[in-house]
Amino acid sequence: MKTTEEKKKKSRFGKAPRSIQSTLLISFTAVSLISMVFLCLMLYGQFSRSAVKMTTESSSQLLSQSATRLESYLLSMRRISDAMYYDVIKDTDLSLTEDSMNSESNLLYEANRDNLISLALFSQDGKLVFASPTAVEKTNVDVTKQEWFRKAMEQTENLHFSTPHVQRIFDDTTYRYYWVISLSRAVVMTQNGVPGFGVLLVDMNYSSIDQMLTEVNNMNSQQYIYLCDSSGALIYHPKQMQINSGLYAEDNINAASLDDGVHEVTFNGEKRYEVVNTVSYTGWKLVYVIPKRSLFSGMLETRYFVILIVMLALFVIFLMNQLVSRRVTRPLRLLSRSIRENSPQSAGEGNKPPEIYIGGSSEVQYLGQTLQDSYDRNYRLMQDIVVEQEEKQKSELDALQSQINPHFLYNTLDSIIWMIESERYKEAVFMITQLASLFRISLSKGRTIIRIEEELHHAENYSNIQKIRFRNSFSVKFETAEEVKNCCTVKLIVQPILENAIYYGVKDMEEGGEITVRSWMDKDIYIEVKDNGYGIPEDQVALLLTDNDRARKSGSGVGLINVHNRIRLRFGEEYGLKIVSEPDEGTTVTIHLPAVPYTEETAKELEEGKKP
Amino acid sequence: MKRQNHYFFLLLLCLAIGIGLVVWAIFDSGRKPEKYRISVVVDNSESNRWVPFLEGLKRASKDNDVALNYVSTGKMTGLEQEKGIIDQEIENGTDALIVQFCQSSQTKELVTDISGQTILELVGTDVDRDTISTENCACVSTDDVAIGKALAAQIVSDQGSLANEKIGIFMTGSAMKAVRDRRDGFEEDVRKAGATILWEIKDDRLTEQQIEEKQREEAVDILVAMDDESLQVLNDYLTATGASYPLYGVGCSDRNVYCLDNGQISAMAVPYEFNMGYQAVTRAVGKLKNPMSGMQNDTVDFAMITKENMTDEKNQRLLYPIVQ
Repeated sequence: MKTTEEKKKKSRFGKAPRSIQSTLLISFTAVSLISMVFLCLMLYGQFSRSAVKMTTESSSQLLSQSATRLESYLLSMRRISDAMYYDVIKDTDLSLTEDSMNSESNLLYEANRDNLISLALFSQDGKLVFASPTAVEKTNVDVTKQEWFRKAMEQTENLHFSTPHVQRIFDDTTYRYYWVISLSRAVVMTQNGVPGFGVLLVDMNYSSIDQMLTEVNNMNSQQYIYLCDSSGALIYHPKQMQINSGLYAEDNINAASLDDGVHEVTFNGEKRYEVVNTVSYTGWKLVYVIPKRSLFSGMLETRYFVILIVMLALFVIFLMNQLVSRRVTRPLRLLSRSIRENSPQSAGEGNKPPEIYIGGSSEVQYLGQTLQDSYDRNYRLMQDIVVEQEEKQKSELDALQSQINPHFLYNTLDSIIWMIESERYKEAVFMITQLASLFRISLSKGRTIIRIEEELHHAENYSNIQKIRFRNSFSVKFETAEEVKNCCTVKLIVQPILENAIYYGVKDMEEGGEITVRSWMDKDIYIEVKDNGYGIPEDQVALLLTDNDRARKSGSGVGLINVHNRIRLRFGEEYGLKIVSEPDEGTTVTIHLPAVPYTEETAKELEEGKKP
Repeated sequence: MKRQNHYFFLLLLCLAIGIGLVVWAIFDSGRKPEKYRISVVVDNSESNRWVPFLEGLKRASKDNDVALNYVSTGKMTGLEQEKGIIDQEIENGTDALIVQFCQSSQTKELVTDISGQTILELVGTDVDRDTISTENCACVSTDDVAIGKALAAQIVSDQGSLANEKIGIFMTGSAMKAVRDRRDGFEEDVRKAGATILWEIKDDRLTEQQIEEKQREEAVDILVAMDDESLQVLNDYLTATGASYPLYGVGCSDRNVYCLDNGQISAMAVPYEFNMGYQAVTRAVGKLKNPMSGMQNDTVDFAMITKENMTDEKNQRLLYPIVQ
């Protein structure tokens, strides 16, 4: 069964309960952390929204500018096409104006050569009518199968912009090939007076668009712009080669279906914003890709700074919480400490009641005051108990001593009567003298503590009386060390042992009965009463100092246990008797006493029950 | 209580250390990190055949923000010359090397030596890949045996039965394992198809005259070049003589693309050289960023291009990687 104290020390989960300061500290810290996390999340959310808004707005602006530049470029190409058609081809018999047509075509080309690769007119059956700059057509090339030609002939009313492709119409002996975007349209042309259809081709230099958009993309490495047509086919992409090689993927098919504006999409597991702007007339889509991770890239220092602020805030919060919790719980801790220092076990000890801390807030003061009152009451009660115990101990001692007198007096007087009746007056006088001495020492003016010398003298008086009674059938020898004579002892402790040695040891021996009473000091004092009598069986030796109810056959009626208890009551548990006996060999009883020199003060203290 | 106080001071100590680290990081982040320097050493670096490869190198360098040093070299005379250039680059403190050896034999010791000093990415199957330690060295290359077999399959597809057909093979980079692998793959399959390899010319300085003389001695029906350079010489030979033979080969230079376009070359296996360059830089950077990681060999694909499919969008990007 666990004690209540042990139970208190363990909480319901088996752990030691926390101190109130820790609880306060943890609570304050938890509340601070939660508030801080909440605040951070709020700020982060606000900051994210602002960052997204700012980025998308600036990207929309950039996209719009790029779209305007692109539209301007494409418009200029359309104007070239219009100029060629309306000023040179339409309403003119090309067979009659070949020179002027070539001249005007070359002029237009020269004026726009930075953006143009070639201007060419093909008849309906794919035959080259003219081209600027003048170039040799590749053999085995059928333009009617090329996409720009087919689209122009399929939808004659429109201008058609192709996706980027390598021009494969004219031969270049330097092995050069050009990436172009073809602007083609069906035209009505007259040759030799015969009107017919043809296709006017303006091959724009793709590198112009490529450079235009590459410039924009060089501004940011993670965010980029790409261009696709209305079906999603890529026209320009900064990672075009990587895409073709399968090293990169783009969301172009999906982006082509998006309306103009900002869209949040997830592509290949990555969240991104796609800002879409449609280029007028062509239906091409300019897409600005903003990966979410890029919103905060380049803000490493800002991130560190935020982390630093958070950590500093945490540092201050922990420190402040510690200080506040210490301050708040200080009276309780002082109260707790004063209670711990004055445990209930020690509440009654000492000369005054323990002092409990009374201070701090009114609640703690009240608690302290109540405990102080309780301790005071306990102290008084304990003092009463101590007094009662001492009185009880003294009365017990007195009762033990009072058992001796009747027995001894009876025995001695019995012997004297016997001597007088047998007219042995001299011996009777000696006996009465011994008895008087014995009683004087026994009384000792009512003291319990006497000198060892007196105690041994008392034993000697007794042995003299007994030797007369038993006609000197045994001898008693006293060997006393000088240093023990003036030490303290409880009176009447040797005589009962001597009495036992006589009655149970040597009394019935026919001759040679010897008793030796020897005293010496070895740190403590030892008084040994040794006889060479019959001895005591081993099983009875053990009972001599423990069994209080053993019936006595003869003697003074004061057993060894009586002596043993008196010594222990007066001097402590470590002192008392020790009995060694061997049947037919004899018995040795050793008295163990503390070495306390006899003075008035020491005797008085021992009388009052104080331990040496 | 004492233990709780210990925990508290431990927590404060941790926070204080954290604050110190963050302050250090703030100062440190202000410094601009140095870019990795990667040097590229290839045989005859100015050759047109390296254009797509160089484009791949450039794109990968831009994507990975590294400084690329494409070392200008002429036609290498031997491994000693190349080693001198590589040693010079290592001495200049390059972080990684991308190397194409001008020959395959006796390179194992050189590879071991270089990879002990810096990160090495080999281009082309220049050494036996199984013998290379992947600790500091790896290869990016094509499956050359497969290229040879694909050429054989294309010839069978174009010419039908090859029974009684005689084939002449040309190689300028005969010392290269890659070229030998292509030849082996090709020979195995065309022989199965019934063709006869009448002769092989292995000469690093192949000329039209050599071809003409050989044809006079023993005329073949089909000409096959195992590398870009010999394919160019064969084109020159056909242009100069006006002869008309089915011509097949491996190449990627603009000259050969032009000849493919005008029909002089029947079909040409074109390795994805762009990918080769891109992967080489990417792998080297990966190793530089994670020094404890091993390196991985890569095999890039190739495409069999004919006049008919050369206008496909994907093939256009393969054949004409540069916007002009």
